[in-house]
Amino acid sequence: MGTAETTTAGTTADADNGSADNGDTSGTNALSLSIPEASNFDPVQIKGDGSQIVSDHVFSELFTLPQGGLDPAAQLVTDYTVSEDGRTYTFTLRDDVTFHNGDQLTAQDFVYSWERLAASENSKEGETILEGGFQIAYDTMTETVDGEEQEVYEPGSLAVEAVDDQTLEVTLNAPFFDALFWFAYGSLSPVPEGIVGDIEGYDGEMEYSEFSSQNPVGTGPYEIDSVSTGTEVVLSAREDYHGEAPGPDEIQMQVVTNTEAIYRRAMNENVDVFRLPNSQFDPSKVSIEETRSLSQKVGTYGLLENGRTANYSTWDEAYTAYFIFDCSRVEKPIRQALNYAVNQENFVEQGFRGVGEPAYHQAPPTVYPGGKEAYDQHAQEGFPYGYREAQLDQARTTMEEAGYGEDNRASITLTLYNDRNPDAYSRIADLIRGKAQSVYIDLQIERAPFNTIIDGAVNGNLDMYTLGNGLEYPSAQDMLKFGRPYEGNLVRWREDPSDASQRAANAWETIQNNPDPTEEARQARADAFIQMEEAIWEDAIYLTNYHPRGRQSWYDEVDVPIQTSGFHDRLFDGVTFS
Amino acid sequence: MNRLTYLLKRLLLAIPVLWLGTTATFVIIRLGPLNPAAAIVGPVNSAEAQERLERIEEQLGLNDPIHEQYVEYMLDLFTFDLGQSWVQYPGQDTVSLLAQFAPRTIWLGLWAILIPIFIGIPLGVYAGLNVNTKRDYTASITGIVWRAMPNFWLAAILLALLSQSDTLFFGTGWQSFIVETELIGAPDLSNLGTPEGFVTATKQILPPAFVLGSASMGNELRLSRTAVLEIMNEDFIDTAQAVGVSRRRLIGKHMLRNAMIPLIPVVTSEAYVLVGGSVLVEVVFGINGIGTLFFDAMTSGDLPLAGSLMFIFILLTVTINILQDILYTVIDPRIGYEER
Repeated sequence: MGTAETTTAGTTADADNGSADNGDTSGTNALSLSIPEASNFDPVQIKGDGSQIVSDHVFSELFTLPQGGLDPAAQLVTDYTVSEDGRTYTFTLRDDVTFHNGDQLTAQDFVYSWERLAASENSKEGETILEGGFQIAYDTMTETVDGEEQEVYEPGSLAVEAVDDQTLEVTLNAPFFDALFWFAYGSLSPVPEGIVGDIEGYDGEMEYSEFSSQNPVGTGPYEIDSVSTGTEVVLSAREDYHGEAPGPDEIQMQVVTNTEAIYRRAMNENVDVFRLPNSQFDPSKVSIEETRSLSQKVGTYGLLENGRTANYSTWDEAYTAYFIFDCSRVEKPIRQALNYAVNQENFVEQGFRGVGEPAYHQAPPTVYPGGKEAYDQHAQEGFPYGYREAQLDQARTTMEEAGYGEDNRASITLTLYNDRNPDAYSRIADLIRGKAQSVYIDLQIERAPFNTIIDGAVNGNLDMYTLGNGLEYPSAQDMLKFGRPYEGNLVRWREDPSDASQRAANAWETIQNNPDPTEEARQARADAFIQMEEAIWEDAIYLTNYHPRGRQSWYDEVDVPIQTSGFHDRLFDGVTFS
Repeated sequence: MNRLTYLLKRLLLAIPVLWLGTTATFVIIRLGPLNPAAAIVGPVNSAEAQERLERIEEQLGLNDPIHEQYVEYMLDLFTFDLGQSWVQYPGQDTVSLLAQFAPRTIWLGLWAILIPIFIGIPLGVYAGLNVNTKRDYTASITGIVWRAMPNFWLAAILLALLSQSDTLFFGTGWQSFIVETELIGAPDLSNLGTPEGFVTATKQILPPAFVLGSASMGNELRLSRTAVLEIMNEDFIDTAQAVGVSRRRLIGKHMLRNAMIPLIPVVTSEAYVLVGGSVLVEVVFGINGIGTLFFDAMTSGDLPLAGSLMFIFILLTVTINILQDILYTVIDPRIGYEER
């Protein structure tokens, strides 16, 4: 999920040069990363990019996405079965998995961990299993909040059962074709039963703050060695890890937020692996030598300021960035005209230094039905507002037909992040404003921090604003669940209904009615996804921007596995030292 | 009024200052455009975003009437129940956060005060004693240039310079000079007791402290030069000279001691760079101290964290001010707080 500005260093502390700072690191392979923050590592918390990297190493899930592919592979289970009705999953757990505290992993740990996810006051990710398409069955109870009666989760009612120590049975509310992805999702990682006392029936073996920020206990390949809050996290490889022995014996993660500092650390070779900040990235220094599956690209970057050439890789971040229109505030002709007036290629070139793909669909290329080729073909043939070109005449005609003109100009406000890629968004906003100007639209530009934007969006106070969505699991569904008219949708499509919005709603129905894992159902869903994309085009409820690509560089001293996609955990356990 | 009543009076006056400062923090965060719940929810465009927002707002008590939130906030602060961070470090006590972040900033601030004192003041005195010579001009102009260089620029330049410093520092480059350290990152303060730990931590803090202290260094240079010049023209200096006081004693005892008086408020007020001015330097050098913590808490609407930090900053400021007043009476016996 990360767009983390991650920098990594590999240093091989030499056993006989005596300069190792503390005796115990001599002869060890230590990798040092820079991460953007480190605060709370509890699986049930919403995490920033840095905390997520720590969590990825400390915790593990029932399933995982393997290197190079998008099909979930067993991680903590040896076998599983699904009931006839597709609702009940029975997992047989591996018997050789232990937590960092030495306890063996049992089915009871999952019952406890998922109850925490659903019921703990510390949980911010409860809806992962309580709401949406993937729902574990549960009971509700009525609670009165501010005089209003609400149905809320009844603690202890989750349909998760430990049949015996190694057998876990989970019953979903309804069959869900992508369920295995969710069993690979970080929030569903097991923690030892009773480790903290934030749900009924447990006193807790440690204080919550100790567990969440100093000493998280999981089943992952690394355990916490030390944490200096907000500054540094040191992980050490577990000797009793059940999987393949990790490459680095130690991973030192330092919190660095400033782009100049990130860059300097890379140039000083405090780090062997790094991501150049956008401001320092020069696309002309990239040479791509190989393209792999899922559009991963591998090559070199150089020369760097320090005279070296680094290895380079990029991958699909599984993210779609767009400008959202509030359809209840911005009329359709204006939305269409803006879509005609811009060329998404310019966004990528001028805003993001060419790192990314111009976006025409909601679903990013990796998850679009049929993959990147199908994505490009469908956009080229079907995108109504000009594929890789601006169509200013069409834009003007659309506006004129709606009664706008030089004497009757439209006026809307575009609200931009000022805390994410502010330079890129400023350039893009100028670009849009320039085009809008010539198609009878006066665009005011406002800037606000991200959390102010999301607040204003939910309250319906914004016309058009920057936003994006990173997918949680590799299916177009995880993106297109927003592409239909429903209560609570930020685009407020329901308040500007049309044939297209009805078609989108129908297509969504089709997807819901074809939940089976058969080829036929899959095809029906794929067709419906494309219908939704086309309905979204017709009503122009978004101005799509781009699909960012992750990128990473490293020096020859280390060998770094290529990150497969944005869906994959950011793990550095596969790094080797030469 | 003796010193004790004076002290009591000052302490009483601190209460409205505390009240105003903490209230301002509350007003900015709770009545401004910031929504801490939205900061927690993060980048989502989802049906769940709204429900999630509502649930988190409920958890944090943001839906309670605003006056109730205010009263609860103030009562907690003034009973030293500083609570837990909401957004930045959810689930952690603000007191323990403070304990972990403050030492780095104090270490940085300490050196940012010491460097100007030991470089700026001696240079100023030197310039003052050699007034209107080339040496004076060189020192004075350097001071003005120092004063004028903005921190963000100086920080970037220093980083770039020290990164490519192979030819300086006896061929080793800054990072390997004396002890091996990284240019960017927080100093390790856990081994300050050992000589090696002390040297490492000091070496690591010197570049950021130098940047943070650069403006003060210029100030102190200019001020001490002026102070020395003024004192030099006083009658008692002529008298002392006439009765045969040695030059060394004249400068050391009669001139410097008197010249220090205007410098005290300057130096103590620089203690506040601990709080405000350190944010930028902390960020650029990756120190992640209390300045960064406060800045992040404010911009993300983390009310318990920002409020507690504000509360403690004000307490510190008031204490330093009182200490400064008392220090005056020690250095200059003519100053007292008795009624005349």
